[in-house]
Amino acid sequence: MSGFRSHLGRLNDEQISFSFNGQSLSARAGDTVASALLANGIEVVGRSFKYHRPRGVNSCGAEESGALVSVGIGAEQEPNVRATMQLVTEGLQVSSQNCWPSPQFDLLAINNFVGSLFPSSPLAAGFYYKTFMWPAKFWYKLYEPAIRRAAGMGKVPDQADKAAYDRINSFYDIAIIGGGAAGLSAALSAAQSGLRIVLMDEHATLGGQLLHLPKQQQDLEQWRQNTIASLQVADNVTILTNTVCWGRFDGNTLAAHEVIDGKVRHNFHKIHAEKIIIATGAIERPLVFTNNDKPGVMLASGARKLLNNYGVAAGRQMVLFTNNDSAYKTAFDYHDQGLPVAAIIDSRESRSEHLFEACQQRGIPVHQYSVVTKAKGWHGVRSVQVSELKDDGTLGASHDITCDLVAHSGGWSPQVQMASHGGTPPIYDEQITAFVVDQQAADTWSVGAAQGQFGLQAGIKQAMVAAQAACQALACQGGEVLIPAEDINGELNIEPLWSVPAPSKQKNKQFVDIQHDVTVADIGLAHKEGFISVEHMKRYTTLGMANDQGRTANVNALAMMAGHLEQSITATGTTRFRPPIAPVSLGSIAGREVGEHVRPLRRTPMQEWHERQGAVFVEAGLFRRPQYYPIGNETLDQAYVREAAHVRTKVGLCDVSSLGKIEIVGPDSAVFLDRIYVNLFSSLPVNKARYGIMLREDGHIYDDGTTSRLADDRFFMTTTTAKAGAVLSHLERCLEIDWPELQVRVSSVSEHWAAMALAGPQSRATLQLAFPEMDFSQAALPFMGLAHGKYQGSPLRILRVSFSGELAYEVYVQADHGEQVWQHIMAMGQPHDIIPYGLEALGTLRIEKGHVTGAELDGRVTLADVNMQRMASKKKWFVGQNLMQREGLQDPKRPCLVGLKAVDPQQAIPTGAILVNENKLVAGCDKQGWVSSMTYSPALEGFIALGFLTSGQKRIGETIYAAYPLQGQHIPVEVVSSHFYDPDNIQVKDQ
Amino acid sequence: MLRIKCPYCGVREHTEFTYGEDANRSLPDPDASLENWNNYVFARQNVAGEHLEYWQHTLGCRAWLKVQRDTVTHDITWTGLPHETPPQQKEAST
Repeated sequence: MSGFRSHLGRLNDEQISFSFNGQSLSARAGDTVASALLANGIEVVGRSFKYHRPRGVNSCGAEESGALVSVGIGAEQEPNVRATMQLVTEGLQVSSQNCWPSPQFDLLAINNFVGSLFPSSPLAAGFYYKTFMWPAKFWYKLYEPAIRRAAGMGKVPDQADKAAYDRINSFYDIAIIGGGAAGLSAALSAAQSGLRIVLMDEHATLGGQLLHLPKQQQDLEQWRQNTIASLQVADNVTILTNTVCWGRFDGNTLAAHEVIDGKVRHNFHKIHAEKIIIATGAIERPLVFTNNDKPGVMLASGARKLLNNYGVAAGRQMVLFTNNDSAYKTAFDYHDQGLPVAAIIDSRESRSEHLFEACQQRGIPVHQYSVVTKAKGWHGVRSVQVSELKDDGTLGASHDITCDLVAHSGGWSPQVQMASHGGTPPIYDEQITAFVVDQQAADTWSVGAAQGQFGLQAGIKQAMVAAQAACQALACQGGEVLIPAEDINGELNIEPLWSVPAPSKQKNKQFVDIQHDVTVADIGLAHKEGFISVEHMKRYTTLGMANDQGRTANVNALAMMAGHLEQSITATGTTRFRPPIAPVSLGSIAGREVGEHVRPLRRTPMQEWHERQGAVFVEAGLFRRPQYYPIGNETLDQAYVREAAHVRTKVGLCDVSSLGKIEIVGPDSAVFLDRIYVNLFSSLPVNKARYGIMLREDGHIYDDGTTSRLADDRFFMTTTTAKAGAVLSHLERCLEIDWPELQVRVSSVSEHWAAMALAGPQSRATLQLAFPEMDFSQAALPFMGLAHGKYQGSPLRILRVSFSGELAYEVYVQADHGEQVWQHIMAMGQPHDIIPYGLEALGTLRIEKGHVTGAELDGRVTLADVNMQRMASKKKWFVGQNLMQREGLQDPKRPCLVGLKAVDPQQAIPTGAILVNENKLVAGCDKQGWVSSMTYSPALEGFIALGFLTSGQKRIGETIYAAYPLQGQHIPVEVVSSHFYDPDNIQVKDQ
Repeated sequence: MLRIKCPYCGVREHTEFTYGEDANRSLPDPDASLENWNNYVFARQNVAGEHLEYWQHTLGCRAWLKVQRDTVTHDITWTGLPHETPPQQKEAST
């Protein structure tokens, strides 16, 4: 038992309860999990990532690298929550991570000791790359399960997250990141301009480091409260607390993550700001000594905020270890609250006289030019070993001091991540021994501690000047901010101490990155193994890659790296800062676009009819199209074979509304289509349709479809479902960029027309019953003809085209009459035994006929590849004509479309199978082609397929093999013409 | 998030637009040599800096636009219609 509640700090006395590892504990409203655990005397919060060492609270803010906990249970559970950032709410369930059975007694803590058994620790730098390498067969059965059991922090919930997350887009004139003294000042100054301002802070309470001060420092406490109150009443200011701004992107876009934990769990804010003021403050750096990860070792600023803000003493007896002036205030505040400070260990050669005198007045012993070499204790700290430094940098005599809290400070690092996202890398500032961003990105100001300005009054003035400049740039005027009478001196008088020499001949660990268990020795090892770039060192050791993103670790590590390289820190540089700078829930990025809302659903006008009919649906782009309409307990295979056979003998109706439909209008429409399609359209008579193929500029097939001529200057194009949008853009591009002189307009009418394919020998008789006033005779509506009609006042377009190989029609009707016309045709087809058929039967019918779809026209095939080279008109130029002539596209050995029939008709030919000549798969056998589509053909009573085969047209009659080694299949197939069914088109053309 | 000023619709987020292609090229004559066609379709300058490109306002007015974008900084310094050319001097506004 170490920490305890000494007074209330800024909290009130309202009691709430929560649980930790099942144990019920009490807290005060406003407590974080960290302050509440310490108030309850809990020292060990969890275990570490690799070595399973006991870890406790080691800060009081976003930089926390020790106390990571899981919050909530079941689907609500969230792992790796920083205990310092999580507010306690009534009934909150908190649990430890990385330990079993308990954080006090954890079996995997053996990892902590294996290092001493082997010459090089298996968990040292680069262990991911060196261990578990050999023999390969051990990977699945031994290494991977073992790693999975031991690895990672916390557990991912195994249930779907039911919480709601929102995405919010907003626009502000000025965004201010960070709500400390500088951020508050900038906001107050900017607010007076009347511009729209947003102020974000990742903590629940605004004030930043002002909250580290005792409430009794009334002048500053009053200033903080008054400033917040003024901002809260300003209509033009939005304050977002519990909101971390985690990235800056192009165009002054900021991404922020807000924790709500109400009906909505998190919000993802996408903020566009004209001007950005970065006031993200600075965080304290740790000192690096042996066992500096033990519970009880804590950043001095953290210990101070715990005491002054939450009224929690982080320990009963403190030793302060520092290399600068700022940490002394922690010792003084603890002492002045009646909490004993055993000693101050100051590594500096020179001392700050005013602080030394203040220590003497309080009776606190100061050990000048000394260091803490080691924290001792089983779980938490119980004493420290202190040594004097000698002039050659080695350690002098040592002695132990009893304590249960080591407050330490290695200086302060401005939080430069947001400023660096703007594009400029930070540079090293010798004065404050830290990195700052020198050149700000456009529209950006960094102020206060984020810019290395640690003094209070100076920071406030800097923020005000920046806010006024930002307002002025927007042609407005920022206001004045009252400067508090009391100042906080920002002089650190720091003497850098990047790591404490290890006590001699000891292998105890000195941690640089506590969260990822990266030690001083790991950085040395990475250097020895040749990782001389900081970017490589980072990845090899994994330093700075935990969810704190190396906030406390980076600068120390870079300095150590510079030491190994015998060069300056400036020359060594930093790793590049990238978003996100803080943990962001995936849920917040997804927002409401989850489950069935992940994409919009496009519905055809007949969708509800299909649903009522019990159709089974299949995704086709954004559509869900009927795959088949089962009768009774029919399977997919039974249903599609029945439907396809029925269409060949009677009649069927299929919803093809998802086809793209484009109307092309204007005097130059025919000229335009001649350039777009490989074949001629200018010769197409009115009320006739033609199948057309368009190529890309590179000579490959782009899309196909039928286009009919409505009038001399008006065409109606259909495209495939998949390319509907792309083809429209392509047409628009050609008209606006390549041929602006053509008088043509194109417009998508996909949503205007419902489309249905009526196919089968009885289709004409069905239509005649359905629309008796129209003439469907061969003479009136021949193959590829177009007829116009009306149904209940709504225009009809009936095209005699066939995808199935039967006598067939496509019926187009205005969308809002789609279901009505569909039902009418179904009713009128009753005497002819009409059925609806789905996409699967449609596929069967077109494969039997050898028609190609997206499975064949996959963007890599040419006209010749699908045996349609004769379609290319010689009378005109068209897109793709030139590069179609390329040598590679003319190669006669290119795989081209063939039909394939299973030698054993009952043996399926898997789609995606590789075609080979050999009767079994052997090393080195040549790939001859592939299978693109397959079906069971009721017409041929066996399995058939379409595929591409090298020199395929010359190989009709050969027997080859469809190999599908993943399923151990090797199926003999006969190469045949792709026109399996009715090759002479007798059915289609009818009488 | 890039913001693009559509001459018809005003400043909109780039999610409304679709990148089209390099705008520093024009369609060769139908009877141009295969080499010319090859260069037109496949050869690109890949500049680091100011670049003219076509975008389409697909989720807006569907116009094809010419956009001058810095490929290093993503700054968009000019937008216009396909037949327009940007002024020689950089304009400050997007």
